[in-house]
Amino acid sequence: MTVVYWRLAHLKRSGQDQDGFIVERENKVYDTDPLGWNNGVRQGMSIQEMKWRYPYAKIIPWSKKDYQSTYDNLCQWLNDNALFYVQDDVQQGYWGCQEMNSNQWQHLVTSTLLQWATRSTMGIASHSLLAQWLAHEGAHYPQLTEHWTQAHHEAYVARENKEEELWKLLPLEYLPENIPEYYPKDWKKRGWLRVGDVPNLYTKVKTREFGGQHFKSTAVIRVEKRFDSPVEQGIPELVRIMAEEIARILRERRQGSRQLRIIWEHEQGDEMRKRTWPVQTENPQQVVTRFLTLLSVLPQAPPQGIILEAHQIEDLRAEQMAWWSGPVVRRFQGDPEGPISESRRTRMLQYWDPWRRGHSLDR
Amino acid sequence: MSPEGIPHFSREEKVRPISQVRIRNHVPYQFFLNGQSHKIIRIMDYWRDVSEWWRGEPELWFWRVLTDRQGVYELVCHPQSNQWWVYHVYD
Repeated sequence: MTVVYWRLAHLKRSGQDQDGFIVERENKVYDTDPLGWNNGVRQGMSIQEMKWRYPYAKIIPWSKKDYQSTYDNLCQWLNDNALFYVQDDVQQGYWGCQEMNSNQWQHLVTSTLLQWATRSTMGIASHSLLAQWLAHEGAHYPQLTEHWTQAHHEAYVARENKEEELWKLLPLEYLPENIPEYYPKDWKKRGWLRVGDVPNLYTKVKTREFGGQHFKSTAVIRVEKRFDSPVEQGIPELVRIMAEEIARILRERRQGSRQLRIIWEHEQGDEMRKRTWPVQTENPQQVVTRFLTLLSVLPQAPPQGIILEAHQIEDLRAEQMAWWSGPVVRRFQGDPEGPISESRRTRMLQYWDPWRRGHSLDR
Repeated sequence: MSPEGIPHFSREEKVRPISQVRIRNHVPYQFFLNGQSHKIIRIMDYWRDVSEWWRGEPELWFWRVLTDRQGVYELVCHPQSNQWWVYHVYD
């Protein structure tokens, strides 16, 4: 298994492409043209800095729609070709493939990537965290990495049998943000900077493989209910029960879903509500909650059928989900197995609030 | 027993104070948590809790809101002092 982390630049954008431009987003560089790149302009740099780095560039404000088509095409390609991927923004993301050698990489750049970006830096390793770090700092470790280049694209690739050494050098700030605050604070206090500095962390990091390597699936989980006559009351309660069934199936399969849909069937036709979340979940309370958010706009007519669907399903390793969590965290996340003691308010709310009836009353 | 008129949260209620909440027409539309701005794009629910009035606790107002970051939060407000807390975070 190989993970490719990429940072793409000089992205194809709709609208007038002009020479000498910098796309600015929140006072930072979002993208630039090839000349800007050659002048050392990189994503995330301060716009103020451009006065001397690329003084004659025209500053263009970022607009989502300029990059939407590139993003959609990129995701479509990932959907068709990657074993899994995380590409929340057009500029950077990572994806998995069986293997990636130099020839395959050259082919990837010339046949695919050039459609969307004429500059890129990539990191290639067996894990997304290593790959991300190599994309940023791989050039500093020539003994441990290979350097591939093609046109203006480059990749730093972990050398065979050198990954263990690289893991130990991985800066701690590359670890995921969901680590409880206590750990990074403690490490900082002790002056530990890299994974290798923290006793036993390397084994933990490596074996748990956290960092969001999710396996995608195009399957859909569906729960349906149809009625003899239109339903006018108790819809949130019905949705809650059906959502729990979806969560149960997800849990059984050890999968999480990112996109949930409700389809209302009524005399005037079908209506669909859907929403996509950045992080997938199989947690019953979260699944119920997410479905309930879709009720904020009710159907135009009382439904005769309700269909709940979970899309964008990805395998989720159980140890990833409860990676750092102790009992307190489990309770807060609403794990029904966690120790629960509830306040008077929460107990009261469970009698009327479908958002809270997920588990406590049923136990 | 809590002092008269002061909101009291039990140990199980993991409330977090909010530094600033912006209100328009008596309805919150933005709040700041841990230095981050959250714009409220939808009020999903609203209720009042009379609290343990027999102990002198004041009434609290609850808002379930959807934010521009697609998070669902429950905010709680003590209207007399205009103090706000996050009562629950859904996702």
